[in-house]
Amino acid sequence: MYASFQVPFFPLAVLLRDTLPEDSDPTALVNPAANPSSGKESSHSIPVILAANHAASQHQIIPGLTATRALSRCPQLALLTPDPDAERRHQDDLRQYVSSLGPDFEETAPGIFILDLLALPRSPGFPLDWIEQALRRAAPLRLPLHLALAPTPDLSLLAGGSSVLRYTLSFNPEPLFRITSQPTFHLQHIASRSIASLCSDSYSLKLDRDVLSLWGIKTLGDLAALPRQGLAERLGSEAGRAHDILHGKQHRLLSLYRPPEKFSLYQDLEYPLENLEALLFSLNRGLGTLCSRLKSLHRATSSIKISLTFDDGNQYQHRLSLPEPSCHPSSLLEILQVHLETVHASAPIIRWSLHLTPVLPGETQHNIFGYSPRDSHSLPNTIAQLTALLGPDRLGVPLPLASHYPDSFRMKKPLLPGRNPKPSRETDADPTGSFSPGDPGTALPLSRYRPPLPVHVACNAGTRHPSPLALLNGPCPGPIVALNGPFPLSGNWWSSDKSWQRVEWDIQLADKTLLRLACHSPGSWTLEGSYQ
Amino acid sequence: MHVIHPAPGPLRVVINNYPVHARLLLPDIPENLFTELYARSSFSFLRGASHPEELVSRAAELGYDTIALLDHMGLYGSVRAHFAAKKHGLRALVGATAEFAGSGSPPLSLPLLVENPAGYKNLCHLLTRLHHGENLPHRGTSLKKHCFPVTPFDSSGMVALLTPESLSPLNKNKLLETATCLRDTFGRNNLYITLTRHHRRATERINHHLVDLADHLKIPLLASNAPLFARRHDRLLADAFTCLRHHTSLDEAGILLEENSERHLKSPGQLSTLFEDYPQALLNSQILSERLDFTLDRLDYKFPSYHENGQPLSPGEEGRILRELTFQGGRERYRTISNRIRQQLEHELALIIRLGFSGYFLIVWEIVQFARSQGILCQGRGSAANSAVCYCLGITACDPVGSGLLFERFLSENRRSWPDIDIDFPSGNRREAVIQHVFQKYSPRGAAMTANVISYRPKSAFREMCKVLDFPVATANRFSALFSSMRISETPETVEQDANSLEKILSQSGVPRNHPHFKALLHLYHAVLSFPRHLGQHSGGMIISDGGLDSVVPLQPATMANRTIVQWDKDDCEDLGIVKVDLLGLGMLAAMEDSLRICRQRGKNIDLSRIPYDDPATYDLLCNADTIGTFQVESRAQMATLPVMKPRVFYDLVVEVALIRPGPIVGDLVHPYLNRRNGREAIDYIHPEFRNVLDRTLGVPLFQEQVLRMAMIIAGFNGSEADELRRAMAFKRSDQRMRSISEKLRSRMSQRSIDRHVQKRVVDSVSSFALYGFPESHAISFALIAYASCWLKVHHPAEFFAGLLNNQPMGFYPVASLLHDARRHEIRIRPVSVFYSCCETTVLDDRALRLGLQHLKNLSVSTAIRIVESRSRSQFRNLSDFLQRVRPNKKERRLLAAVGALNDLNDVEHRRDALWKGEQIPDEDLFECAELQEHAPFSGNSNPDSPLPLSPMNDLDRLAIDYSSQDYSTGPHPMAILRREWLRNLSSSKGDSDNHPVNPARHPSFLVRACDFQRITHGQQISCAGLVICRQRPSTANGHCFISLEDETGTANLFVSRSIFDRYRLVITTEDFLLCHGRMQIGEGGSHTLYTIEIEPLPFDLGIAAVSHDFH
Repeated sequence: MYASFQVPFFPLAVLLRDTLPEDSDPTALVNPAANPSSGKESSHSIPVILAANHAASQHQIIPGLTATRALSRCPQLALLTPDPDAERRHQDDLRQYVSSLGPDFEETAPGIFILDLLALPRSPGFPLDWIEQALRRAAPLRLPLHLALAPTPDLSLLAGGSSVLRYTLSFNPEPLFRITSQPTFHLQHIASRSIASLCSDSYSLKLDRDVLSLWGIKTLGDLAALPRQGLAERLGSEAGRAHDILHGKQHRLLSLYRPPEKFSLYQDLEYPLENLEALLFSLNRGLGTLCSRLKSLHRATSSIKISLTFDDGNQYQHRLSLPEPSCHPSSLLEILQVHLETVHASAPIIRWSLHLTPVLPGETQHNIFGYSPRDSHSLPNTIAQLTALLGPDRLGVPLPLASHYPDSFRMKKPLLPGRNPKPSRETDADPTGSFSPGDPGTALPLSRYRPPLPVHVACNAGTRHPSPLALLNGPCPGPIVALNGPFPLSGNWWSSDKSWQRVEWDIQLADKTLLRLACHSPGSWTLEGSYQ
Repeated sequence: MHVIHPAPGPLRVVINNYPVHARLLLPDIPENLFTELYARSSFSFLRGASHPEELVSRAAELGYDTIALLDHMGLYGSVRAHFAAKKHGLRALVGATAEFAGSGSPPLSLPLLVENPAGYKNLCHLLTRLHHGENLPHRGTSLKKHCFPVTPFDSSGMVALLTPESLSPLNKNKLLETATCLRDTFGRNNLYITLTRHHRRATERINHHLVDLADHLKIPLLASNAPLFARRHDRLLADAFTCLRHHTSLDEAGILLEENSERHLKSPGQLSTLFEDYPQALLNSQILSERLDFTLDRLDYKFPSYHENGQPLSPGEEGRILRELTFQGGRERYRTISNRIRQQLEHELALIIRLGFSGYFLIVWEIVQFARSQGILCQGRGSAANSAVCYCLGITACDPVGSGLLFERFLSENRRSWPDIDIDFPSGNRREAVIQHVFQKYSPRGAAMTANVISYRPKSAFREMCKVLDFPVATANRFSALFSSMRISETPETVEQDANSLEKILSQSGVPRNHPHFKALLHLYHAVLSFPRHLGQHSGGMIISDGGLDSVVPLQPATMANRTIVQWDKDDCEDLGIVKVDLLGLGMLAAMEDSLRICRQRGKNIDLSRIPYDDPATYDLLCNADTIGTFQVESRAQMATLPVMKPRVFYDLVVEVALIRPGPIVGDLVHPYLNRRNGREAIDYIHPEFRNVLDRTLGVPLFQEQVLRMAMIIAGFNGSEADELRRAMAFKRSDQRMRSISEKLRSRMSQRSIDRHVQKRVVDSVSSFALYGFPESHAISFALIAYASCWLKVHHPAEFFAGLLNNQPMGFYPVASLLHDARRHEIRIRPVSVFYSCCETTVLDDRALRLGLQHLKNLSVSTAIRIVESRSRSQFRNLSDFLQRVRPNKKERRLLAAVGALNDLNDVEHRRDALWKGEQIPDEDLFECAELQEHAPFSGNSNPDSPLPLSPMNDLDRLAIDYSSQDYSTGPHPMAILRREWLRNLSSSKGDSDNHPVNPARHPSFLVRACDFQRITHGQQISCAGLVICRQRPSTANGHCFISLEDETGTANLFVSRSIFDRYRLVITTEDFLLCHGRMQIGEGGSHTLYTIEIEPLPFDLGIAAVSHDFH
């Protein structure tokens, strides 16, 4: 016997969790317009209704309707898009709830679980007492819940959609339980359900619904009434399997849920630690244990999260990202040590905890001509030392941007050799004498001032672009004896908050110094760099 | 480092018109010594960001006397530049930027200037060949072959410019090789190395290298700013075009974009300052511009000659043959040629021969003869119908002498442009046969279609600019949906008036005012409107030249196979005096041709030219507005006018056709005419002198000819000025011409002391025709076809509907509406059957049609043909036999079974029986299975005795499947089924309704049916429901909407005011079935229209998607 737990229209139920069904306005869930992975809208995404509440369905708002058409039928319809974060949170709560009822359960789909009742102790009042207890324990979740029992996992899911077979928990706003003695599962109880209920993700069935629709097969009862052989001959084994499911001849194994392994360790110290050496000694043991666990599962870690609790009640937390996954305790300890040397504690340490993020170990096969470091373990350490010295987010590989904006680049996080992207060839000198689009325009290397130095400039303002005559302050004030330019530059004109423009000049001072000067707006000049 | 004022190099001397070489010192170079010889316009698609006219106008402002437009791969904008230049007193030099593809290396982009007529011809040849892909180099060819076509081309008369953009990336070695190669090909004095300065740091390095190269190869230098746009701020659009060209967005484009705005057209003074260190480059631009002696004024285009036995005839011979054919045809047309007719023919022939048009008329005659010889129906339309010669030659069908039409409207000596002859052919394959005949007759490259410049319209402009600014596609979709139902101007001149509406739409589309890209989107949207987007082909305009059309204009392949187009549109061709013939496709002609063929097959030989034009039954049909499916008089507006107009003679129909047009509607001419016709208003001729002109139209100027004559009478316009007026009325590019000619008209009338009130009415009449009114001859030509279609519907309805159904899609109504109309005319419609149907719809008898297999969507033509051919050998014995012999694929098998096409097979009981049995045979086993079962009875079910597991379809199932597979159903009307189901639903929920009283406005029993509209009194409140077959919101209706609802009894007309439309816009535009409440309005002629106050979707969904005619 199996029990299915289903939150009807889970994504919508999550969003309407605190809304009273009777008072709620017409509300429907539409498919999200944005593709979360790209952040861009899918070119063919047309907002379509995925689910509608009772008030909306009174206005013929049905799943599959386009949002525009739904609004034409019910102008006051509130359209909501799924909230994946909330769904995740509630899914976690549901999982915890089901696991409290029994050890062997399957997380079939978001908001849907199947529990194997075989291992549960049977009391004389079983199953009604157990059902009542189960539903009452679900009340704090404040999500409507359907619970149904059936002899097979798939039938228990189908039974959950039958008003005759299911036990329900709803809210108005107080929890309402419908726990009366129900008939034993029989096919006729689910016969009127739409054929679509068999084609959901929960069953991984691929039925040719177009053909079934042409045949006039609209309900599960219609499908079950077809001859199995004739059905399988025409629509293949999947159709035969669907037939078997309905007749209880298909009894699949549950894909049991098992909690993921955690790689965390903490220690409440018997006496406060005051120096780093003692702490490292303790951490070394902890890392050894965690790394052993990782190795036993063929995993490495991509980051270390360390938490320290001080005697005065303060806490210190930091996450260290590793350039390459590792499970060597000594390497990890070195990285920790480099970092901890920069930490100043306000009081002795009374507790530490470590959490390692498990990932697949890096597998890089170096080719014979490829560059690789002599000691691949020392580089993470070096990077850690540099990070500790410079501060976070100040170490990486600068990648020039394809932009006319001078000196524009982005920082790429440091990676080990072999994983760094090849540097752009655009600015490299071409021995064949090509003039590339990113041509610097001069053979002289420019030493940039970062940040540029603001200067006052005397200029001739009679022209479109003010022509500089002399530098009035800055590192090398004096008259300009020669200049090249102007070089007007502008970009991002399409964005009101990012548009920029400037005019650059290459200037020569009396002492032969060659400088690059930029005018951002009248009276606003900066020295960009000096030519070597 | 480059110093501020570099000292110029040593001197050499300028010799005549030959270029000055490098290292020249000129003692006194005059200021502003520069000519821009490398500008590109918007016709360098997705490169240039200014119209040719704008560039020329700006050049004139800046003091240029010459400018050269070298558009990418074509002379697309040259005509517009040429005439704009003439207007501003400039010379527009001709040239193009040719792109030679390289094998495995970047293409060579080479600007070419035309020096003389020979060079122009060579450039046209070269561009034509490049467009036809003749320059594809073979693998392993040398650079010389790599740069140029494998087949050598004649470079004489052309000057090439090697620019920094010619090769990308610019490579020193390759540059040297290319320059050497170009020098050898074009000659030392016909190649210039072009320097540009766009204030980029990298430019100087490139220029130094180019100067060294020029020195080394002794090639002269040339200065240019290579402008891509007229003014500095046009750079924004140029950047947007760059993104579109590279399929990227502004955020992603990076260094593909311009780094500043310096590529605008700069003044000679600015360029002189910019290149003061290279005076020879400046001077060369001037010398070269003076040397280039070709503008489009020297275009060598000749009217085509008529060929006999492959040889062109002399003008004298052409005139003689034309005269013979005219009088021969005249005797057939008129039986006896009266003096009046003879005089008219002689007058026309004299003018035609004097103007050298004989060959042109003979060519058109030959095309018509070819069509007739192939049994293809054709008829001339437009102003050609004013010519008695055209009538006698069989080109047109209406007698201009009998109708009193003005020949000068077609052809006169005073006209500055030449007329074109428009001929209607049945659309589809038959017209294509005629077009291909013309292509073959004048091959190779002697004929081509005129181009159609596709411009950015609001929806496409917004969609493209959304791409550029990286807005989601849904934003553009929402804009399109909103734009369709809102009234926003489409022209840049007036679009700003609608700024608020536009901003509102933008906001509703998901771009609020505070969006960082809002301003940019708005700017780019406005900027790109009316810009050329790409080149399409004109619907039927053909240009013929017996001297090789590719010497006159470059040709390029059209998207359609076996067609080529010229690079100019019809207006450009007309401006240059190039004669075209319009071979247009008319769906109704194809339908009528089919109807006549079916009549012939059924033993009824009908000659349309001999049908009576005084048939009372036909006029009764028109008076009753029973015109669904007919030509020109089937629209909702026409059907509303017909009962008021009550046409009883042919000319009434001519007026009817011309009356319901945007011109007369906007000019508010419809009601005055109808009022006067029905005696409710006195006839007013505006001015006593107009009595003769406006007599036939009761004082209302309905035709172009009348407007022209009015202008000639009241303002003293001569023929040339009248022609100018005609062109302004037909010219859709800009209303500038219209304003100018209206002003002239007004001033002339003032000079003649014409009353101001009369002046205003005359000018209003002219202005309303600018929105398109018909010439009388055109209206007569269309009325002939309209009358013939009505006559066929009255006297041969079965053949008429069969012809219509075989030529769908066409006309105003979907197939479903045509079938319902046929049923109302007591014609039974038999469904598609593999047992009986042919590919096309056939006539079973005078009262029954059998639908053809071609109506089934997704049934391949080959399968349909196999069905008919197999059946012609022997009828199908059963389903097995059918499957064996026809071998339809799985989808087709399901389709045929689902629509009931297999129901007539003897072992099929109903549609689902066929579906169940037909599903069993897998594709791959079909053949073997068939062989095995050839001698055994087929059993679709495993056990023949077992009962069929599937039940037959009900009406609703059949309706849904019919609509999804054919867009119509031969069963009951959807509204009949819907009404029944609705009632059933209500009765099943009777218990509830006892508690809630039934609202009569929402009860199917109380809804008024379309056939009941006639008995409803004016002002009565009613509700009706139906399937939407038409939603219209014409620009002439001030935002009001007209809806046609169809039910099982007919069609009901609804009027939705602007405010109501705005309130129910979503319901109206998205729902297939509507429930409408309002009050009845009985208009003139007894037309019943529901003035709609409330609209809602029906509370019952059939789940069918019907086809409707929306917002056209």
